[in-house]
Amino acid sequence: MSRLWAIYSLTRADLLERTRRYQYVATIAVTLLIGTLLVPAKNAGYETFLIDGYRGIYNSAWIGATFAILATMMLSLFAFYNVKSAVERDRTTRVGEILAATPMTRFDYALGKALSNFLVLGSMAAILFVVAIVMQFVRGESDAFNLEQIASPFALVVLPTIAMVAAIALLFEMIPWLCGSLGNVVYFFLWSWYLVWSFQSEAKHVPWWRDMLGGNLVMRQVWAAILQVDPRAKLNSVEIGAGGESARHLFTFHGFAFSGSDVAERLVWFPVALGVVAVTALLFDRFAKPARTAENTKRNAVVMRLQSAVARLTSPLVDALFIGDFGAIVLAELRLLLRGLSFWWYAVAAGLLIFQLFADAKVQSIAVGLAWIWPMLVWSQVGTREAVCATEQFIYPTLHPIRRQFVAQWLAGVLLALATAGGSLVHWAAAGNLGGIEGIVAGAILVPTLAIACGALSGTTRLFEIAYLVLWYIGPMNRTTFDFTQGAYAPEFMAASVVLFAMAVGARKLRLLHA
Amino acid sequence: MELQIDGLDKRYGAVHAVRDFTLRLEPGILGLLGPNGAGKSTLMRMLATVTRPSSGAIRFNGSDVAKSPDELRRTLGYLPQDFGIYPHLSAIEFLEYIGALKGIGRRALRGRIAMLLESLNLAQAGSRPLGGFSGGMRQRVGIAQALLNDPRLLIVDEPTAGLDPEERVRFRTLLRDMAGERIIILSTHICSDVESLATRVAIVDHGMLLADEHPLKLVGGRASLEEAYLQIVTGARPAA
Repeated sequence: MSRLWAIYSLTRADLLERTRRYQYVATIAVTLLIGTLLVPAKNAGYETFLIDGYRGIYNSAWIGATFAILATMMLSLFAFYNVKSAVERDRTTRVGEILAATPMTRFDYALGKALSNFLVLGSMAAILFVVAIVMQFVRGESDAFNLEQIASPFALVVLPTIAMVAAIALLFEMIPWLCGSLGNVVYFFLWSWYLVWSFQSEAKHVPWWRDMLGGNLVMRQVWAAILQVDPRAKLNSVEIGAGGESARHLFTFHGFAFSGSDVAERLVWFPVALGVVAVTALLFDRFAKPARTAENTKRNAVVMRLQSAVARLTSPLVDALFIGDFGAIVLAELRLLLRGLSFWWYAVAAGLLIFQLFADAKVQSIAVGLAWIWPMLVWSQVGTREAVCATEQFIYPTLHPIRRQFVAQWLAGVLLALATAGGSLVHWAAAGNLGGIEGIVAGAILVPTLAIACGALSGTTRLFEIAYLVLWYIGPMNRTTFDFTQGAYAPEFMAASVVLFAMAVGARKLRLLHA
Repeated sequence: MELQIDGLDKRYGAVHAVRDFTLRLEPGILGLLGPNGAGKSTLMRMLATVTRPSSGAIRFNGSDVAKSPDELRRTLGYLPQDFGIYPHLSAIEFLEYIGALKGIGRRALRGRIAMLLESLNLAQAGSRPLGGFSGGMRQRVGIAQALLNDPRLLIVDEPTAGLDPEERVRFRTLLRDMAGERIIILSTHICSDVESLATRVAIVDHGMLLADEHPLKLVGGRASLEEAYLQIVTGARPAA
């Protein structure tokens, strides 16, 4: 009884603390908005779930399938970053030290936090569930409402996924090198790889351990239904998300028929999640190492020597370039950005610069893309450093904190972007390609602007890290219209930067008002 | 009841925070005095089972705390020097949370929280979010959580920091009333707090125990405890 009471209290307190924050309200609002976008109108110009041009009419079964597959993907990626803060909160609020002195067991703590993660994710799933029901009536393509057809894929596909995400988020928090920004990056790539791996089956049955997200289960059943309508259909393309392709065929999906093994293969993820929680408990240090001590990195002696040598050599030049008060602030912000980076960081950045210089024009966007993913964790400090390092009380009362410090911080980020893409700038200049230079400049403005906007809005590094990773992956790496290194889209990205910067300033002004 | 500290050592890399620290404690109030960075907080974190010693042992009623920390934790009240709260929870919700983790049943907890909020002058603010509390009020919530389980061993690190004079007097009275059959370890920079409360004073510097005496004995012929403390600490430092 006492242990259950302790676990219940742990879950409750964590949940109350999270759900009373304005970030949670914002998350719920965004979930609500996204939910409405998952069922686009016929003339919306996009589809969210298409298999080889087939889309089901919006009856309960199809809505259930669409929401299940999109919810499992969204909640396993974006919501992971939302919940990956349960232990960090106890470290940063320093409640952890009080908890460490209680008889609470490691497992009880891990289970309480995982349950809280699960309930937060569950609240988002619940919002999507309600929106799914409402959207069937809003679109009005089918009046036949069947609650079970919407609820069963949610229960079998989404709930096991969020149980696993809740446990994995906690596991990442317990592993020192995965608990911070690096863990966010690692998770993104692991998630992307796993998704591709689990979908590489052409809708054939994959072993349960390859289908944590339940996407294969949904695909198999939907594809079987399409084959019944058109036995000659070939699985050439699957579109999940907001794709521009239109539905070529509408069909009626009559719903899921889950077999006993389907159910078992999904439910097995609950004990697996519990196993992950148990592993997490073993790794839990009971706050023996305070967060700040754990984060402190040893300055690399080689870098320190190099930096002081460079500083001696470049001082007159720097003094001339950064004349006056504002220049000094920009320089200080630049130094803060680059502080503590290891010799290897500079070595890799230099290697990427050389790669840009000699890369073919066709692979320039990939070369710049690689050069701009490397400093991602440096940019993620922009707009958040004051909140993370608790220096707001020193910075905010200074003279014109937005016009001077905030802008200087952003400018330092832009300078870093230009410097890391210097090889490509030289390449395009030598080729006399003005468009190439425009693309780099627009990208160099966009990336730190996205960083400062995300940082100022959220107060954490996480929002930028996930937004930028997604943009980087679908942009420069896949050369879509989101490729912010391309000159062809420079005006659009400049306009986006202006909007983002206005949002950043607005968010910082609000923070100044309420600090 | 006794707490035995034997040859305790704590290292953080090259930093030797606590060195060969030996002390035997019985019910009473021990005032722990020492300059900043003397190792007091590290010592208290080890006694509170938050950090494990590098070497040496802590025994509570004969049982090794490193091997079975829960025996001590069940009866421990700990107020860290630098503690936090959940800003969006009320004082009552926060204390319910900590109380449950200390293993206190729901009914007993409610009565205990009401009593502590009353005695710490927080009854009116119990339902307000902690984020809106002043520094002194937060400190009192910290004191309340340390006292929730009616601890036999109470470790308080700088408990009066941030309290106004009236609240300081109230807290001193509370500690004095609580003493008796408990071991209370009080770390502070305020010599007058120690002088008025402690039955024993331990002076620590550079992680070492420099003195361990009754306050009156420690003062001896000197004007005050503060003067005695300064003489002991400066006398123990190597000449420049």
